[in-house]
Amino acid sequence: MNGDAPQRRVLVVEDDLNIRETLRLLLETEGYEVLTAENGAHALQMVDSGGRPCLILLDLFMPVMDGFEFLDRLRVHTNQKLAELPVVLASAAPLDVLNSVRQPTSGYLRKPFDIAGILRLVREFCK
Amino acid sequence: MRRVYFALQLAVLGVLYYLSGRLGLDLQSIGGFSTLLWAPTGLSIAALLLIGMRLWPAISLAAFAVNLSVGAPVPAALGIAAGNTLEAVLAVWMLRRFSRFNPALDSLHDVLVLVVFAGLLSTAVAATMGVLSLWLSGMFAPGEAIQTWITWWLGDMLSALVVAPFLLVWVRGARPAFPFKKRFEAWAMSLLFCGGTLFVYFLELPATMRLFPMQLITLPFLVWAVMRFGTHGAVTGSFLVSVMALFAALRGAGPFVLEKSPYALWYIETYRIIAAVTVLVFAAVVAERERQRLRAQNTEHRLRESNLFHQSILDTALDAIISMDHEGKVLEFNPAAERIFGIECSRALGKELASLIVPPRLREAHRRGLAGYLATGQGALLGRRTEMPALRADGSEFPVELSIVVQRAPGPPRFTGHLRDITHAKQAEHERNRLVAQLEEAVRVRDEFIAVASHELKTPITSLKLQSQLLARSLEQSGGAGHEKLQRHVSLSLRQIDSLAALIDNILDVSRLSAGAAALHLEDVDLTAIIQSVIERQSEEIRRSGSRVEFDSDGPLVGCWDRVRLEKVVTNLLNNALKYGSGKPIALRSVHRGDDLAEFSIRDRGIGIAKDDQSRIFKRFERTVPVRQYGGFGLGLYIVKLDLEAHGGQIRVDSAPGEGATFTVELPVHCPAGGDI
Repeated sequence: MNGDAPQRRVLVVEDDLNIRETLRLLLETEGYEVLTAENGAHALQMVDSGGRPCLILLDLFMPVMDGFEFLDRLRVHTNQKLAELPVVLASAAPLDVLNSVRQPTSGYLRKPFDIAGILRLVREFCK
Repeated sequence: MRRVYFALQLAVLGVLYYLSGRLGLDLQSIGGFSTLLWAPTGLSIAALLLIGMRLWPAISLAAFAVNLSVGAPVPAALGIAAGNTLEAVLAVWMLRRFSRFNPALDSLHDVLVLVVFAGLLSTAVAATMGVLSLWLSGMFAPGEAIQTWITWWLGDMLSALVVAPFLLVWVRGARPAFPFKKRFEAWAMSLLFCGGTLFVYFLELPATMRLFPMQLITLPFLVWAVMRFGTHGAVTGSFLVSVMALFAALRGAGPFVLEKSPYALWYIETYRIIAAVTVLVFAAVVAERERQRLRAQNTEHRLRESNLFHQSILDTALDAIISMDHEGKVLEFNPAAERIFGIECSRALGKELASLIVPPRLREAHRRGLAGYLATGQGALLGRRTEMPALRADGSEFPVELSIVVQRAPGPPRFTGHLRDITHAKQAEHERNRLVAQLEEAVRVRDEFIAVASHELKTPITSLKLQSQLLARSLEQSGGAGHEKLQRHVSLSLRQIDSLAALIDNILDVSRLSAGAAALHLEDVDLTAIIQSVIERQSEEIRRSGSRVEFDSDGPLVGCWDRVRLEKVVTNLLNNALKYGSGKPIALRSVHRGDDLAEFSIRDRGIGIAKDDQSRIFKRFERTVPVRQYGGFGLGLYIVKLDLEAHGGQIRVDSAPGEGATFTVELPVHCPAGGDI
């Protein structure tokens, strides 16, 4: 895989190690390249330095930099292509908290999510 | 019928007039002069007053007949009749035209107008026309004209002031309801009066005594009659004097036949006229006095009752009622005030109110307020309810609620205040506020705890679920042979994980929704699309339940709703149908209902709900089936209902046991006023 072929690259932003690694295992088994970040700040670095992903799965409540702030920063990114990256919220937060996210997102997965849902979503964005 | 009645009235009046007229004229031959008692004048005035002017023809005819019958020539009889008719008509017309005459004669006004119009003026017309008619017919010498006129006038006047009042009062006056003793007194007095009068009349007086005014004997009786029997006594007494005079005259006795001189007759008649007017005036004044006395008595009675009433209010009032004068001195200090302030009324009266019950720091303001009101007529405390601190006798302060009114009676103003001790109310309010704050804090802490706990619980569950699903996939991919049992176990634990996750979601939602914490995120949402996506997302559950799900719609159904909440509603209802109608077909339907409403229904063929249970299923922790058969807390429908109500929508159920259930949702399409979008 390389940076010029983002179709099969997914960024998972999640502070819980178990979930993060399970998702990596699942998606890699399905043939995707998986980047992981444990918080928003780390995710921003990944977006800047690593290859451009086709989808970002974003948890909301994380230490250091939470999902809200990450989104705020991503959506004003100097690189227009990065600023428009599709982001799907993957959180245990109540519905009205999900609704309170001001920045545009491409949907949400409520925890606990199932494999079928994740794969359906990833396939949709990473053709 | 009315004509017959009118004719009867005419006839009766005519006959009475004729008879009394003949009597009067016949007496002329005894007295030798004009009449001693000319009843027709009074009779005709009374008849026209009491019954009506329309009776005048009876008077004319009867007068003409009477005069004709005693030998007057036709022209003279006609003239006299015209005069007599005019006399009565004129009297009645003037009484009605120039005053509001009341025939009861119980006021000075009525008596005076009767004397002037009926007694003095109208009779002069009759006398003039009568004398003129006789003179023109050559019935007497011209030299006797004036004498005849005066005699005629006095006779008619006497009748107008004796006979007419007698008839008027007895017909129209308020009939007195005298007790037996008083009726007895009336009869005894009448007998004594008649007897005494007759005795005097028939007494053979020596010639020297002839000039003694024996008729004055009637005076004490008349006074007695008026004092004891009012207007009725007066007119009856007057009338009896005339009857006695008539009787005596018939017997050729009494003071009326002293001499055959017109002057003597005038003298007697003038006396009787003056006596009649005097008793009428006297009776009217007495009646007016009596009415005044009754009014005063009535007023005093009402005043006394009113005072007693006010005193009872003051004594029983639960609030302090205090009055002060324009100098701020206490005028009234009721028992409640004594109790509330701990000051006896006797010690409060006359003292300055401010120094008694106003805390020292507020006294100057109180005095300034009073001075300000007296100068400008404006007071800040007047006409409204105020709360302020007050002072007890022991120096302690307490809060009172206060309202003050000003009595602007003649003289300096007086202020009355109602004061209520609101110490307890204040304490209760304070306590209530403290408890409410405590409760609100407790609810907030609880909700926060639930939010944090459920969030924390979900992290491990998410991980657990992912792992289990991966395990299931691995087993599947490894060919499955020999792993069927293992696969079943994994599948079972996955379902338990889902139940656990749903439970945590529900608990959190209930806590947030019932506290009203969750705001709606309104936008244009297509309900049909939502239903389709939910069916897609729940395909695994649908497959597992074995139900066939059908969806029917009349196209996109866009409204102003919260997408996430609506997804939740549809998911909950679908899961509900899958749970209770497992294996049987499920039909979903979304349609427009007019321009304003969207309708969504879901029908299962499951176990159904009994009528009695249908209102309960939307309540918290309600469920109509045994727990062991179907898992869950029964929160799903409750959350659905809260979510729909937040949108201004509603849900109803139509079901019978064994026949499945149809849940129907109605949602307004338009954004609520003031909603965000």
